[in-house]
Amino acid sequence: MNLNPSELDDLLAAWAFGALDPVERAAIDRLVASDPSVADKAHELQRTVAALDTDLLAPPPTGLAGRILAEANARPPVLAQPSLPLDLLAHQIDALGELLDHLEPADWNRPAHPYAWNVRGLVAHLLVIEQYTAGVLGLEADGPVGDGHLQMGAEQIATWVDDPSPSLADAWRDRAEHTVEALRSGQGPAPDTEVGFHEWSFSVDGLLIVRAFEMWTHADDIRRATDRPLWTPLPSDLRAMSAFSVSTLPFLMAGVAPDALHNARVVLTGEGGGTFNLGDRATDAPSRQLTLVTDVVDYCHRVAGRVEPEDLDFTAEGDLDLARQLLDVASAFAV
Amino acid sequence: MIARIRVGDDEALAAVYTRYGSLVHGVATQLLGPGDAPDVTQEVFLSLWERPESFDPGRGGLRTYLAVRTRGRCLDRLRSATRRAQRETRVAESTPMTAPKVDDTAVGLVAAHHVREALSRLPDEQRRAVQLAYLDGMTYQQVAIAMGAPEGTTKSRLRLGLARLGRELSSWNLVNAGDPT
Repeated sequence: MNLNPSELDDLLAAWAFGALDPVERAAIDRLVASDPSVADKAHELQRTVAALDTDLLAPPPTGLAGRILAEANARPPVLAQPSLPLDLLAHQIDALGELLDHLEPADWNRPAHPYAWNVRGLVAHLLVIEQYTAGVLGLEADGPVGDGHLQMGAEQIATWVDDPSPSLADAWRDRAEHTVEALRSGQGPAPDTEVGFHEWSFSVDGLLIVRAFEMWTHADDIRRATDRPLWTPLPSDLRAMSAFSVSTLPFLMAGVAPDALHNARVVLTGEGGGTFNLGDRATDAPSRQLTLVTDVVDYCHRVAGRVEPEDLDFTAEGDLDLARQLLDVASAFAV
Repeated sequence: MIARIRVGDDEALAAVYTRYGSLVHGVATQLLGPGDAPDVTQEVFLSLWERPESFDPGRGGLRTYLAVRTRGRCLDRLRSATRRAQRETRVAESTPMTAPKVDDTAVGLVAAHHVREALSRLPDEQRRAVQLAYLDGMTYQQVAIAMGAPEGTTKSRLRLGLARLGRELSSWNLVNAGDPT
C-alpha cells in the first residue's frame, strides 16, 4: 500500500473509528504493526475515539457479572506447570555449579553476607547440608547430625575455608548430583514419606523443594558477594517454590496465631506466580479477610529472608494485620 | 489488575468489570442495541481473561483497550451479512443510554459533558461524519453515501474532526482519563 502522508492520515483516522472496509483495515493493521511511528499516531487517535465513549455508559444487566465470572473460572488461565521437585533441585544445582565454575580466585574470599563466612565458607556449608540431606534420605550412613543448620559441620567448614584448592566446588557438586541421581534411580524413601530435617518435618518432595530454594538463595548470596546480577529461576521452578511456600502458610500461621486465618488470597504476579486461596473458608469470596498481592520473585526473596516485610513491595486489601503476620511467618524456613 | 488477571485472580477481573462494565456494555448497546450487548460484553471480558497479554499498556490504558476491543467486536458483528438486516431496525429497538451509575462518579458525568461539548463544537459536516462512523458504526464509504459526499472528502472530515476532538479532549485531560492498569 503506497500512501502519501495525507492519505495515510485520512486512513488512520478512519481506522481509529473502525470505519475501514476489511481489506483496508488489514492493510493498516499491518502498517501499524510494522512501523512504530505510524503505530504511535494510530494509537493516539484510538485513544481519542475511546475518550468519546465516556458518554456511552449503560449498566449491564443484573447477573451478567456472575455469568462472566463463572465462565472465567471454567476457563482458568494456563500458568507455568510447577517443576517436579527432583527437576527443580537439579536445575538449581546446575545454576549454582555454573556460577561456581566462573568465580575468580579472589571471589572465593569475598564476605558472603548475611553470614560470617566468605564465599568458600558458604559453599562448604552447602556441602555439609548436602551430606546431612543425604543422611536424612538414607543415602549416606555417616552424614552430619545434630546442631543447628548453620552450626552443623563447623569444623569441616573451617577446614575448607583455609583450603585454597578448587576442589570444594567439585566436592559440593558431586555430593548434590549424587543425591539427585540416587533418588531418580529409586533409592531413598518414597516422595510422600515424611522425613525430619532439623526441627521441621517435610515430605521428601517438600524437602527437595526447600533444598532447591536454599540453593537458589545461596547462589544469589554469592552473586551479591561477587557483584553479579541476581538470577531468576525458570517460571516452572518459581511456580514450584512459590506454590510450596504459600501452601505452608496455614501451618506456619497456626503456630503463631491459631484461628486467625480463615479466608485469605495470596496473588503472586509475574511468570511463575499464581493465585492461592488459604483458610478453612477460603472459597467464600464475599467475606475475604485479605487479598495480598506481590511479585512472585519478591515474595520468594521474602520467604528466603532476603527481604524484610517492610521492604517488600506489596498491596493488601482487607486485614493488614493478617498481611503482616503472613509475611512474618513466610520466612520461617529461611536460614 | 492485569498482572493479577494473568495469574488467574478472578477477583481482579471482577474489579475491572465493576469499573468498566458500564462502558463496555454502553458501547455495545450503542452499536448493536440491547439484545446483543450483553453477549459482546461477556466476550470482551472473557477475552481479557484468556488473553491478558493482548493488552499493551504502551498503547493506552485499560479503558482504551476495552473500548477499542468492544468497538471492534461490535463492528465485526454489525458488518456481517446476517446482521445487516437487523441493523435497520436497531434504532427502533434500542433503549436510550442510561445515566451513569452513582459509582461512575461525578468525574464521569463531567467527562461526558465535555465530550458532548466537544462534539457540538465541530463543524456540521465533520460532526455528522463522526457521528455516522462513531455512533452508527458505518464505514467511511457508507458515510460518504449517507452524506452524498466523495469518499476522499469524507475521510478528510473524519480526520479533521478527530484531530479537533483530540485537541479539545486533551485540554480537558480526557484522553486516557481513568486508565489505571
